[in-house]
Amino acid sequence: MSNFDLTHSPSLTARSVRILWASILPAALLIAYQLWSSSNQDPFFPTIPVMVEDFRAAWIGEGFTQHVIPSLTNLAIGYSAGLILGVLGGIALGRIHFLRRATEPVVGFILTIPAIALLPLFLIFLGIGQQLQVGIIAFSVFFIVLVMTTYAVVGIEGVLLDVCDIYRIRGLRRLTRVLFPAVIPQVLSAARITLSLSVLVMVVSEMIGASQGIGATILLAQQSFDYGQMWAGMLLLAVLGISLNLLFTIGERTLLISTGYEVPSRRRIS
Amino acid sequence: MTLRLLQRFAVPLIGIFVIAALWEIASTQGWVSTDSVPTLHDTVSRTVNLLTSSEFYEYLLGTLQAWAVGLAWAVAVAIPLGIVFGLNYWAYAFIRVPLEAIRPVPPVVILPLALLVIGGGLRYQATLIFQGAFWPLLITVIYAIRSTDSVSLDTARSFRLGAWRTIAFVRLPAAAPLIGSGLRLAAATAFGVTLVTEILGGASGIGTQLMIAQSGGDATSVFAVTIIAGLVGLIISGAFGKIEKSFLSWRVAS
Repeated sequence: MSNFDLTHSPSLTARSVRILWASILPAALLIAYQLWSSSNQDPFFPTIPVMVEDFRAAWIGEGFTQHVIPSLTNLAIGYSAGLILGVLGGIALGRIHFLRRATEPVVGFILTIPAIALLPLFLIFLGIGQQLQVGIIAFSVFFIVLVMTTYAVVGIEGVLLDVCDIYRIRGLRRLTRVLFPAVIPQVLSAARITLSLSVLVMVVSEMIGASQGIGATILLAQQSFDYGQMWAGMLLLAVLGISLNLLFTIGERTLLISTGYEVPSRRRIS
Repeated sequence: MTLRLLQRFAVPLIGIFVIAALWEIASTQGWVSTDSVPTLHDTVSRTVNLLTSSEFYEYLLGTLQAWAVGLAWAVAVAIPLGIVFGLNYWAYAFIRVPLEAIRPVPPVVILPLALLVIGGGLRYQATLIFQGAFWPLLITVIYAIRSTDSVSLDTARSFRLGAWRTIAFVRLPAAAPLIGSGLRLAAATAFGVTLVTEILGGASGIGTQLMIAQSGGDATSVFAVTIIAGLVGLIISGAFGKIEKSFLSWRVAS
């Protein structure tokens, strides 16, 4: 009863019952909010049509090119720089025993500092501007990916490396043909964790040290009591988080399939 | 034996020493400006000074209090709810769509609204920390309960253990390790959100100290407070690592 069997394919009616059941709560929440906000007339909580209108006014057209594009550019540069350097560094640390031992305490300590707490330090180093956003995103992504890749490399089976030795697969070929494919699953899970982290870091760093970008716009709206703009910003962040996550899931599947890994068929919720 | 012991401790110590020496030399020799990178000995003495000053303690206590209150609420609500939703497929299917939608939303989304509606202070901090830690923890608990090994469930059924005893003696022990790691993550997330609320204003704590030092151009204090934030993070992850380990030992009992 409590364990729903997902292995057999359910009939069409069973499936539609389930979809209907799952959509009750979201629909109810939307309707309840709409009714509550339209009867309440609280400026803090605008009605849904007003919200949608504000969202369009804020982000379609000029707002998009002035704030959303710079934010996403910084996010893309910082995230990919951190990811690439993290994987390369992780492979180096994973292969070189001495280096891993020697850097372990320092890397471990940096990892426990919340990414946001590093913002003031980065402000001193980099000042206000694009380099701040890119720098702190790259930094916080780098260390998590570094550590998870290191563990993945250490966990590679000895037999695999022995086979490499026997067939004299060395250097670049070993890196691209053996080491990279072997660490893909762990790197992907690090990439997923750091993706949401980098959105968070992006927003907060823009709230502190930027004149443009999504975070800066939201904070400015909040400080000038422009509730429409503020809600538009909050909505955009939610949409951004959800769509980046969706894009990532699609990319993850494609990469796993093309490298011959098994894709979890059942949807997991963790 | 001694060689292995030497390897185990000497190499990390060498690493720490080399990095510390590089830092000290770079800052004292003027390779980097001391305006942005203070010397190591200045940073260490400032850290010690702060940790022994009663004024700084108040800020530290403020941070820890907000963290503890927000996290405690999140744990107290997420674990029972997670167990309920994990046990019943239809209940889980009912909340699944909003849950999946909220998961990737960054926890600072509601910060501007909370600051306006609640104002600053502990309640504002606790609210943000709560919602930052609650959702991931809830999802982990649901997943942990749902992923109980079906063989042990069947065994419980053939022993006619009954619903309550199955939950208490089979499902919870089996879910404990995952819940333990969920708790550790929630504690770390809560600490991060605590600092966000302080850095962006609205509450006072070590995050405020960071911003004051930064706007005053006091690089030494920024480094010192950042190190203290790291130490607090270390203590938190150490303590919750212990809890996670004790939860892990339940697995043997199950």
